[in-house]
Amino acid sequence: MKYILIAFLLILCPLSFSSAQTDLSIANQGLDIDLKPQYPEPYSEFTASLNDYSVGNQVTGIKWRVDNAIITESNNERTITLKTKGINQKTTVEAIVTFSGGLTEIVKKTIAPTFIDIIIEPQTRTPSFYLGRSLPSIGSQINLTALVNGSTNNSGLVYTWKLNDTTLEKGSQLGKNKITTTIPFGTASIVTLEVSNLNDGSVYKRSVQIPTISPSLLFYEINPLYGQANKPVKNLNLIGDSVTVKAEPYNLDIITYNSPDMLEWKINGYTSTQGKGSPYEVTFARENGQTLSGVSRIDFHVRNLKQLLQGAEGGFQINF
Amino acid sequence: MNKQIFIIIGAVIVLILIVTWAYLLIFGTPKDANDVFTELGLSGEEEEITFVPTPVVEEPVVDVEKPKLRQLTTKLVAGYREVTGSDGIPYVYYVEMGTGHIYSIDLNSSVETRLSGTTVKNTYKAEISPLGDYVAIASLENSKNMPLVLGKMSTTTESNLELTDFNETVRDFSISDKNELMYSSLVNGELVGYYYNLANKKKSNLFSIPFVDANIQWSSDGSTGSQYIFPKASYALEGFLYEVKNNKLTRLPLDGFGFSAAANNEMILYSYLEGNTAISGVYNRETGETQNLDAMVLPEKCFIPKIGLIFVCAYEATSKPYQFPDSWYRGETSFKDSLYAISGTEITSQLLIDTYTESSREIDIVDIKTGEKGEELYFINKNDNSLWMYEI
Repeated sequence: MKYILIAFLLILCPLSFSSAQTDLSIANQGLDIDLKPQYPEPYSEFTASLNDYSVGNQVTGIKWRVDNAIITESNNERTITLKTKGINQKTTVEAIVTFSGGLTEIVKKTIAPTFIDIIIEPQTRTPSFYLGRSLPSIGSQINLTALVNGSTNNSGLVYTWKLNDTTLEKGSQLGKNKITTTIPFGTASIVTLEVSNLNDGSVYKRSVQIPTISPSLLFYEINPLYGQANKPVKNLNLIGDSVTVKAEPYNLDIITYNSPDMLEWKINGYTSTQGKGSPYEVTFARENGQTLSGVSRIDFHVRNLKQLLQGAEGGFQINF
Repeated sequence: MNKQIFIIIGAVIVLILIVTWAYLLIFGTPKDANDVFTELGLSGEEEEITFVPTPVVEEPVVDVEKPKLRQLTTKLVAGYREVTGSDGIPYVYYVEMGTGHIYSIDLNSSVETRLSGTTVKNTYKAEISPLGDYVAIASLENSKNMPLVLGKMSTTTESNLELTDFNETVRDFSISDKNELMYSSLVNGELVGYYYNLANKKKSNLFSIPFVDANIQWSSDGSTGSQYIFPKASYALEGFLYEVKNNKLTRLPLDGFGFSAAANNEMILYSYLEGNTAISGVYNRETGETQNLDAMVLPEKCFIPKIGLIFVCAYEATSKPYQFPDSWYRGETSFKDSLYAISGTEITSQLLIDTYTESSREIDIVDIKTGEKGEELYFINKNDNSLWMYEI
């Protein structure tokens, strides 16, 4: 009997201990503070929401404590809106939750706001005078550069780049804040960057959408003295004896621009032979003594025949 | 006896007067002018006199009242600066686009003088030092890396411009008030900023950033001031604002799609797109507060002073196209601007001038600068690169 009693106690004790631990762990796992956005930037607004998935216990009271100060006006609110401080200046948000049984539990989240900037530099063509940034087109390359808090010091930072859920550069790399990739098919791509700081163990994540633009074409007059005009031409009047026009494909992959498989000028539907100089420029001149007048349609077409979406075509009218 | 004689004489006189009066009353009305006026001619013949008006000799009058808004030159301008001459007269020095020829315009007499006839082929952008003694001229060819030429002008005579090739290509450049050439170059895939003392020809590093397509607002204080950098704007891509001071890059809390900015130590004017809506705002650097403007102004079309919260912007009240500002950069969209003075504290604006109403010209204003007195605004018309002036 004595041995039976000891054996019974030995079996029962671990069970009761495990039960207490389970209660506690259910409560801990069921409460959480959810941030939106998940990684707030410095000086930006964010919301902290209490997620309560606890089973059995009903929440009867919520108090919010921010940097050790109780926010009384947010009592019993499930969500509060706050503003982050400066770069890496921590804000501690705590939710003090009271359950129906009288049990009180505290969940805590610390926010150290960080700027994770992903700078997109498409390797596509824009004219020399163009003051904006070029845009990516299907099959073109883009350079992606990450700047954490504007710092160029990457020591201790591990970068994991993903393009549409495909990990780039074969995985995480220390100090790899700059990569080059190719824009896939589709109207847009998602780039996701995860930065882990080996010094303090923090992890940050950021996603950006990269749109895909079709290359387009504009024509600009070139003045032999003053250079290329700022405004594109749609209808051109031949006032003097000659005029030079340049075709400017916007957002065409630089590789295609430099060595296109196909490039042609057409005058009234007839292909024109290439002259010397830049293939993107054409000069229209009156023949000696010619006094004829009329209208001609000029068309231009450039394309990569291996990647058919890398191309642009268009035209304009010339009155002479 | 005597008394009767006097009465008789008096009665006769009265009678004569009555008869005379009655005659004049009945028969005395003149029949023509000759009955009234006496012919004073020496002879009896009438002489016909032709009236010849005496010519009034008028001194030629020059209308010295200049319009407040006026085009300063018909030439295309690559860069300009107001310079006070040794005679105390304000001049505008400018470099002609395409040729690199340098001119000065006397703002009192409007006389234009060519200072240099040395041709710099394909001149696209130029900067002039505050005293007009140094000039930097960049040529645009088929690349965004521009060859640069530096010039030293010792006097205003044409022959005294010494041009030397600057042995680096530049992405962008400016000359500070301290005679420093501030410029950026592409080095090993990074954009490196330098300052080059034009007097002693010493070069030093200013910053290095890991991206290339950057828009830099160079400080007029030169290497000791703050340089503001953001990736070039596009409606479809996100931009972020950085400040470089004392060789340190700092992220400022402003960003967005199509992002563009202009700043001084007190405020930052910025614009970005939220969905399809273009928004402009002012960030007060002391309080950290932002306030949106009622209208979307593009920082590239504004003049932010070195200090203070009042700035000048060119703006046309029209809806912005979907692909803004890209379509403006391409030249497909242009504006008929008005100039406004805007208070960055109260977010109020005051119309200075509607340039289209005043000039009947479509002036798409860029590159606004002010004169030394602060009473003049100079700007370039992006449509034709002409130089204009407005007296406030």
